[in-house]
Amino acid sequence: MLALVAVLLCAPPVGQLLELREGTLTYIVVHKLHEVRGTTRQVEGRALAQPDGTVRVQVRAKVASFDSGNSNRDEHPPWRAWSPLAPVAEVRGTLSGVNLPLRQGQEATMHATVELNGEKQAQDVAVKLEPADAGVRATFSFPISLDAFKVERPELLLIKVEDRATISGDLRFEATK
Amino acid sequence: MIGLAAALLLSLQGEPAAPPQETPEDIELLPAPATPNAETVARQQQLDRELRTRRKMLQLHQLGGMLTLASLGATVIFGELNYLDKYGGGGDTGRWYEWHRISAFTAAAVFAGTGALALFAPSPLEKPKRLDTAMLHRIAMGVATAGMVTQIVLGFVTASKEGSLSQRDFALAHQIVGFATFGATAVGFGVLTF
Repeated sequence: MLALVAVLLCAPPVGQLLELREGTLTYIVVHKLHEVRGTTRQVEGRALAQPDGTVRVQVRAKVASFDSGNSNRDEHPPWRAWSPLAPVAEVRGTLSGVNLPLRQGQEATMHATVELNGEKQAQDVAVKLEPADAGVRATFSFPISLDAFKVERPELLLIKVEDRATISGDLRFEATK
Repeated sequence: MIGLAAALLLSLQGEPAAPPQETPEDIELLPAPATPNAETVARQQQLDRELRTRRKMLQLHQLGGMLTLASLGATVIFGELNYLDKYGGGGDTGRWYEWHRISAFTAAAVFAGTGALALFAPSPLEKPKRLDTAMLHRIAMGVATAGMVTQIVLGFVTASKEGSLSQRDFALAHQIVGFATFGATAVGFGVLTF
């Protein structure tokens, strides 16, 4: 009986597990003088596609891994406003009406929670899905408010960057063997 | 009686509770990051403090940069007016001499203070050496620093040559290095806006 309970508890979740194979996450912040775009390829993520068409997704990246083309900006304030005490940016969410394998491209809305700077915000994210190799390619872009995440907005020449920043991603998931 | 009590209890319980709705925050597909130990937390807090100090110092550095550019620009203008007054047919009235001297000392002090803010700011994170706008800023400001030191020496030497024919040559060199120093400072300032 105990063995049966243990087996049930350890049983893998129902559905198809997809692993993030490659991809990029990009942030764009806008200053009156220029636009800064930082990208990371050090992204980890998984998606669980369930038989009812629901897909649960979790993607995260280390904030320090974003590269904006300027080492001073990436490694030090004033541009790198995030605290080392909250080193990870993360998105967790659920899509519905997605049945794998995809036969053609489709768009879906992910009801997500975005975590940045140790703060969490609910966000609906429009995601474009396309069949890719043995999996799915997901692209998305959504705006965030830096103030809402309590990010101390970076300044250049005493002018702060705009509150609105954009997070975008291009991720390829593959079914685990 | 027992049946009645059971029926009453069941009716009071009402509808069976719906299973709790999963929120995005409940999704745990990736392994949870390891909980940092006390030593790691202390290190992160120290890093956070140093980064905040650096941020404040670099904000002041930006303000100092604007003041440097303004005071250096004034020094160049007064220096040029002084040069024209002395050697350009202005009658050698000396009317711009004090303006140039005061603005030059101010610019030198602001330049040194601004540089010190960047040099002495804590730099707790290792960063890769590569050619980017921060590196171009450092190169341009290195050239400007060499120019400032040269200008201070040349300024005193030129002033000490009063009455000598060579003074004009020293003044010309002082003028050229002055323009170059201002140019390097402007490049160092401007490159960060890209």
